[in-house]
Parts: sequence; C-alpha cells; structure tokens
Amino acid sequence: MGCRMKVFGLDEGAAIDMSAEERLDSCQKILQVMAKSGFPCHIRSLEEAMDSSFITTDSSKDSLASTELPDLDEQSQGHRSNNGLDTDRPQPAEKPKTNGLPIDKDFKEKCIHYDESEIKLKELLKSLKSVTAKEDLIKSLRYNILIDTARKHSHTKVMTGDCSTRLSVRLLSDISQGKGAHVAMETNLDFSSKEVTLHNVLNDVESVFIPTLTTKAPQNTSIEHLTESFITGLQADYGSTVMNIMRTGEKLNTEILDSTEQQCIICHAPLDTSTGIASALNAVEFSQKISRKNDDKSSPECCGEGDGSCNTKSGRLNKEEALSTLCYGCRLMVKDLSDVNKLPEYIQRDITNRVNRSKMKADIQDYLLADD
Amino acid sequence: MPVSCSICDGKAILKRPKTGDALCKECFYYAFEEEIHKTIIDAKLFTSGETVAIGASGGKDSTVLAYTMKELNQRYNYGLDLVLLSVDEGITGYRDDSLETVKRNQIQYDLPLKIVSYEDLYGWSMDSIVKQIGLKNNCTFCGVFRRQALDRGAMMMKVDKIVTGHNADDIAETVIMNVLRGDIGRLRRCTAITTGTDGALPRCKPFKYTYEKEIVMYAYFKKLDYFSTECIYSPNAYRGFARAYIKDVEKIRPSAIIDIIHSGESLSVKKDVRLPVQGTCERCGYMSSNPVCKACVLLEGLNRGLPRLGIGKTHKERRKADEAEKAKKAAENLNSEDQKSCDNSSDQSNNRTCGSSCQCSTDISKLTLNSKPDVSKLDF
Repeated sequence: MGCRMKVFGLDEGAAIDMSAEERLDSCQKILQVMAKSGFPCHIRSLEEAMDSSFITTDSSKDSLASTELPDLDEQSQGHRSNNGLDTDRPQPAEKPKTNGLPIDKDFKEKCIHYDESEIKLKELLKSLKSVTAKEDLIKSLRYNILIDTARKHSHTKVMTGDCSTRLSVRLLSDISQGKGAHVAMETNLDFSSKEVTLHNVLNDVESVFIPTLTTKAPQNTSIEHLTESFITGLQADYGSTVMNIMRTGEKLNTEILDSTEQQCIICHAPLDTSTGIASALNAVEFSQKISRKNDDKSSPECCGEGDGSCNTKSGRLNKEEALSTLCYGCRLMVKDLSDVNKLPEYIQRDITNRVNRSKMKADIQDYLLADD
Repeated sequence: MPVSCSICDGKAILKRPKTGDALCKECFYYAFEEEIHKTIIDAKLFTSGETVAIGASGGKDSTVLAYTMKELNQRYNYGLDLVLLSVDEGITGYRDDSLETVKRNQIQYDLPLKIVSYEDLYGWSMDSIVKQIGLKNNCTFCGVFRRQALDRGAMMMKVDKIVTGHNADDIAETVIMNVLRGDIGRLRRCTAITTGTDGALPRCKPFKYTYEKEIVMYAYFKKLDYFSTECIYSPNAYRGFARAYIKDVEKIRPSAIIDIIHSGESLSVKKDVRLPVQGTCERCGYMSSNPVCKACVLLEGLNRGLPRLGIGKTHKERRKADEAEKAKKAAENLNSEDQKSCDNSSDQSNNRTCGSSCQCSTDISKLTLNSKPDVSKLDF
C-alpha cells in the first residue's frame, strides 16, 4: 500500500526580480522545511521552462487527466504510514542533497547555468503588459514544470497544498478570465473532509513565506489578486462563501478528450473555442472587427518580408496562428504579449507542430474518409 | 491632437468600453446597433409575424432596448409587432416616477403600452409588503413577483415573446452570484439568451453581449429620455457584492465581462448532478421547479401573516407554521369547531388569522390571480 512520496519545491525568484543571494537564501529555507517532512526533496526553478531542452507535454501521449486528479485518500494514507515507520523507505536512488547543507554549491552552479533562461523569462514577463497575464503565464509554467518533474521521477500523481480558500479564489478568477471550461480541471478534488486531514498534517509544519508578483500590491493589480481580496472579504461576513464556491466546482465536469489536438498548447485544458455562432466568443470577435476598419491586416509581429503573410518557415510565429491553438483564456494572455516569439521554446515548438499538422490535414482533407 | 475614429477617420469622441477603440458618434451608433442585430440574427431570437413585448421599466436598459428594437425592426424588416409592457410594483417615489417615463416613451416611440400592477395581481403592493416584512428580504418578493407579473401581463396582451433589457454586465454578475451561492441549476441556465421555451412565454435578452457602459453612452448621445434612480427599497446586498466585483474586474481587463459570460457558456455540469426539474405550480399553474411556486409560497406567507415563509430555507419556517397549525387544529377539534366559523371577509387582517382549514373565497381569488382558478388544488 505504501506509495512513493517526494517533495518538490519551485523557485520562482526570477519572476519577481530577486537577487541571486535572495533566491539562494529562499531556496535553502524551502529545502530545510521540506527536509523536515522526511521525504526526498527536489527543487527546480521557474526559468527551466524557458530552456530549449525542456520537454513538451503536448507531444507525449500520456493522458494528463491522471495527473490532475490526485487521490488524496491514498496519498495521505501513504503519508501516514511513512511517517509512522521508517522501515519501508528504501529509496536509494536520488539521494537528495538536502540532509546536510552542502546545497549551496549546487545552487550557485544552477544559478549560473540558468542565467540565459532567466533572462529569457524576464524578457517574456516584461513583454506581457498586465499583471493578470503575467500571473497566468507563471501559473502555466509552474504547472508544466510540476508535471515534467513528476514524469521524470515516474510519479503518477501530484498533490498540491492548496486549501479550499485558495482553490475557490482560483475558481472564481478562472471564471473571470474566461476559463470556465477549465475550472473543473483545477478544483475537481474529492476534497471536503480530506482537506481537513491534509491540513492537519501540514499544520504543525513550519512554513516559509514566499513573496509573489502581487505581494504587497494594491488589490486591483491583477484579477487573481482582486478575486482573492474579494473572497476573503466575503468569507469574513458570509462564512459559507468558500464552501459554496467549492460546491459549485465539485458539480462541474471536466471534458474527456480523445486527442491532444483538442488541447490548449499552453495550459492543456480542452479547447473551448469551437463555440456556436451565437456565443460570447463570436460576439466579441465581431465587436473587434466592426469597430475597426476592414482590411487592416498589419499584424505587428509580421516578419516584415514579402506581403506580410508570414508563414512558419521564416522561423517566426504568427500571432494569429498561435492564437488558433489556444483556449479562450490563454488567448487573452497571449493577446497581451507584444511578441509571441518570446514564449518558451517548448510552447513555440508545440504551436508550430500543431499549426503544421492542421495545415497538412487541410491539404489532404478531401481524401480523408473518416472525420476524427 | 484629436484622435481619429478607427472606422471612418473622422473625429473620434469616445473610446468604446468594450474594445477600447476610438470612434465617432455615428460609427459608435453603427457598431452598437449592428452588434445587437447580429445577436438577434445569430441566436434566431424572433420569427416574422410575432408580437413581442418589451419589458419596460423606464430605466436606461429598457429605454434603449425599446428604441433599438423599433429601429432595427424597421431597418431590417423583422416583421415584429412591438408593444411595451410595464410592471407597477407599487413603490411610491420610485416606480410611479419611472412609469411616467415609460408613458412618455409610449408616445415618443408610438408603441402600445400595458401596465400590470402587483396590487391588482397579488393584492399587495411593494409598499405594503415592505410595511410588513421590513427592508430586509423585500427584494425576494419583488423579484419573484415581477417575473410572474411580466408573464401575466404578456399573456393578457397575447404576445409571443418578451424581450428584457438585461445587459452583459447583468449576466456576468448573475454568473458570479450563482457561483458564490453554489446554485448549479441557475448557473447553467443564466447564460441562455432565451429562457422559458418549455411551456411559459419565451424571454430573450438581445443585450446579452452589450456592455452597460455602452448602453449608457448610447442613451447619453442619443439624448434618450430615461429614469435613473435606484430603487428606494434596494440594495440586494449579496448582488451588490457581485456587482462591485464585476466593476473592479472590468477595470483591470475590460473584456472580463464577456470573458465571464464565455466561462458561463462553456461550463459543463457533471451528468450525475441532479438539476431541478421544471414543472408547474399546483396552485396557479405557473412554471415552477417545486410543487408550489415561489410566488404562491410568498403570497401565502403574506396572507397568513408569516411573511418569512418563503424566505431562505423554506422548511424551517414551514415547520414552525405547520406545528402551530397542528396545535391549532387539535384545539379546534377539541372544541368541535368547524371551518364555517371562519369569517369570509376580504379584510387582510382577517385573512392573516385564518388557519390551514380556512377556505376564505377572497383568498382564493387573490391567489389564483388571473389564471383559471382551481379550487380543488388549494390546500388551505
């Protein structure tokens, strides 16, 4: 029954312009706390997603659904048995570098190694105008690193320490960001009572405060930040708010996908953009079209060669094409981005592949018998 | 340097709240009207030859709705017969004034007008309800009664459809409200552009994707005559929170209102979640997801002097009332008193003291309103 547990930490210092020393310090604190859990620990940093060697999740065939739905029951049982007895813990592989504190060197090396990626990440974040979009992007990168780490260590499930307040904030802010189709994906945990168990387990563990993009920022900095203060405020007056929101989340469905082609490249949620003619998406596209002059097609990220109809052969992504591979919510984020070519390489690769494949499909469409 | 209109290069005088584009007045009217036309066509809201009632409150949304509906009906030959329908809730200092606006609109737009009042339909005006229930929860009565009143008025006018001025902000707000309340049934229904297709009169919202700010802009530049005062018995506190939240989110990202509606449209509900089944009220025949519709429960509460009967969790108040009745019945049986002793007076105070065994005829006529009375089904 025992299951293999590891603790992962993520260093997001690059996103908030922490100095190398601060990040090192923060990582050490995280590691110390994680080490107390008695599990092998790993720490990775956010800019790793910018590295050209970062593996895409889109191309791998595994169903993501299994990673989405942590079976908390099983895991907390595993947790308990591990806590109680140390006997069935022979995990010699991946001897973590945590137990002593010889980590400094490792991390210094890491910091140097990821310098280039760090710059890329900072540039990417800078080219996003709104904090909302920045947060959204960081969330996607964080998620992908988590999944990637879990895969590399052949873990089948990921458990995060989000409490119900956190989850309900995310649910509502997802809805406000046009991600209604995904909310079930993020909150679909059989949560209620187990959450308490989980909380108790975590309760007497000391914690590290990690600043984020919106720490100390005014509440209207980003949609998520605003939603957080909205919900915590409401919760103070109407105690059932968080539970009500969680109840809504529980009743929502995650679509089951038959192919990765219908997934959003960035967040891997089911594509929600093939809506009917009478839909919000259609209406908003019409509004944009009608209040601008017609035939005005000078897209700013065109390569500047030829007649402006960039294709992917020039090695640069076209924003319109990129948008076609994204869900409604991620489109909003990318629209905020001044240059799609600043996106992490793995995302660009996936977009190019998807676009090429759909072009191929369009070419041979007439000869395809079954419509899949 | 003057900003130029992004459609005609003329002098722009406004920035569209929805898209951020700078437009001149004429181009804004064009975009605004075309979008509504597109919504009407895309969602196939009407068929030629239909009579459509415009729910008119005298406020900005319904005034602009009446204006644009008339305009588009002529421009694009929808072939609709348009009428104005207003509900008089009986709120002194608010509705009486706004109804004056509707009466002016009737003349300005040359459309027939019908006003139905709570007083006539239910025997209670909002003023008298508030006297009994106070300022808390009175919005529940008003909301439930208005829904039915509009339908009843529409039936009297023999219309095929009702259009209401609900705008994108209202719908986004309702999505958020239903998430906050965990009301999955309403959450699923609230983004539908047409409701009530099963049985009752269909209602549609041509302004579903129209921003409130743009409606105000339109009314402002067209100098439309509308009434803009908040209801004196307002505020529905919880809705107010959702409203404030929407406004704040819109400030951060103007597309958020449409984004929220998109979210609402693409939410899918788990198959095993039980959703309320729409049936009809066994007392008045109006559609309802319970055996007795909310309006009848609220009315029963008012008439029996238990105004909280239909508020919040029904069973608690219901149980209290039932227990009181049981005790009363037992006492009646003991005294071998029968129903005939009950006075048939139409006096409200007398009605309130009637127990469950009372069969006051005045009560029945008031409860069944203008639909066919079905006395056998009345259980009190």
